[in-house]
Amino acid sequence: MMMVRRLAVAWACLFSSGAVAAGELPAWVSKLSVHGYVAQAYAVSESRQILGIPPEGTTEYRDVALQFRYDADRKNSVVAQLRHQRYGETERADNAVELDWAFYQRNFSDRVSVKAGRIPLPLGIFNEAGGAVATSPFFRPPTEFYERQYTSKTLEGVLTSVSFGDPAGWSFDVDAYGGRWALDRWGGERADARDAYGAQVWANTPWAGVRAGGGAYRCTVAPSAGASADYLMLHASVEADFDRWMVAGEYLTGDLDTYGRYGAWYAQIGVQASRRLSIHLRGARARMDVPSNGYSANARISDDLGLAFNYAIRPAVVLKLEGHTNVGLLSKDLPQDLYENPSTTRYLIASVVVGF
Amino acid sequence: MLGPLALVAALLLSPDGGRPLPRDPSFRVVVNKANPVSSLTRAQLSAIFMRRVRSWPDGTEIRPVDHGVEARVRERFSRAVHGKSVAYVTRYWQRLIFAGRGIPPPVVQSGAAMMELVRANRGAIGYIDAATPVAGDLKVIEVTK
Repeated sequence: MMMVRRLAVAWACLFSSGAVAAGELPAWVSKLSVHGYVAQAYAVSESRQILGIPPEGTTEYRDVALQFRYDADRKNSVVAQLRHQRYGETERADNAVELDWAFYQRNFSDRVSVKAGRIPLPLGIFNEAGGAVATSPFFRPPTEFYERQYTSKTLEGVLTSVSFGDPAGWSFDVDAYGGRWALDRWGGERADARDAYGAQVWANTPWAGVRAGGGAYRCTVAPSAGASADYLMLHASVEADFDRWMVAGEYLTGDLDTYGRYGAWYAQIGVQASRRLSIHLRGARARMDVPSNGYSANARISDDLGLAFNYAIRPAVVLKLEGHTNVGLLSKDLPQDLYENPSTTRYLIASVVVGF
Repeated sequence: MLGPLALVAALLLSPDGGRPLPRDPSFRVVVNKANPVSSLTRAQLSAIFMRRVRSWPDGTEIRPVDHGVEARVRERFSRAVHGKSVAYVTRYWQRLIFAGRGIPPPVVQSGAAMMELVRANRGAIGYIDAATPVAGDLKVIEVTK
């Protein structure tokens, strides 16, 4: 009976939007927090499959996450996030719920911490929290930048974070990491990226919401068949959230050793048209230089132009309607043949996103 | 030539796209009676509620307490202290939460609950509607520019 009552108290606490009252809960419950989101979409393309979206349309397009965080004290925390992602007919499509990431965090001071485990990889604006309710006005962050052939969502290893400067003025957030991760390969294969290490720096300006950052990483990619290759990736970001106006842009370039060179960028701008409605425009581009018989073939991976309307029923309940025009080689999330002619298609995603 | 550019820059760089902030905030910031701090700048208060500053000068952990996103006093506090809407602050926290980098301050549903929580925690800091009488065993913090 006691256990049932404790569970009832815990449930009430966890799912009451973080509301607290003094002196009602056991100590361990106050150290536990649960957050999550559900993003469910209907998506349809015009002429060919793109990013897993078929011409006949699909409702098998969703992203769901559930996160548990336990702050034992000021110095020690454990955080884990479960995630289910289904992107139509993409080769990654399955119905599994996976451990997105899980790590232990040790805070040595208010400004220095170390994480160990499977950690969200600090890479640009959206890599760590791309699917959350209010972080991206589009259902997915731009795949051109956040694709999974050359970048990873997570790192299995160690991450050190240091912040310095004036939190009310100029300040800097530095992340340095080392470990390993896995990359997607054509045909649904995964490849290990070993001996990975890198760093990212964000400069926060005195104007709240305005920041710029950059980073680099290297890793050795060892596919199950074929030669291993050393990847060196550089990325830069700028973001300005002025509340009414939102601007962001990022650039990624990578030396893929014998596989060639990858480059991608995007820029997006949004305006809060009314208290609930915002409108966003995004342009993204990805190119791949592929060595070919002593020459370099420049593959047009993707040119994507998207327009999105976001209607916030509440700050954490958002309806999104977006239309895209795409020219390129993307299909099932990844280009299937770098030497085919680029084709044009349009696609539409209508989604509802709920977070807590 | 510079006229339209200057106007666009002014609109972009103003905290709320050009809308003025309230000059006379209709809320009061309260801390535990044992807290030696008696005043904070607006920027310091913003950094505390964004959890970019986590310790009082004596080393005590700062425990900010917020109101729910629908509360009117929350919107007034957000505009006056952060210079931003509640929607902006929600975006800020969503990004940190799902990056595993932090969680927002806990929220209470009333001024009475806020005062009870601040009274019970030495490092707590909260705010209440100016129309709500402040309990005698709490300290009101002065917020300066």
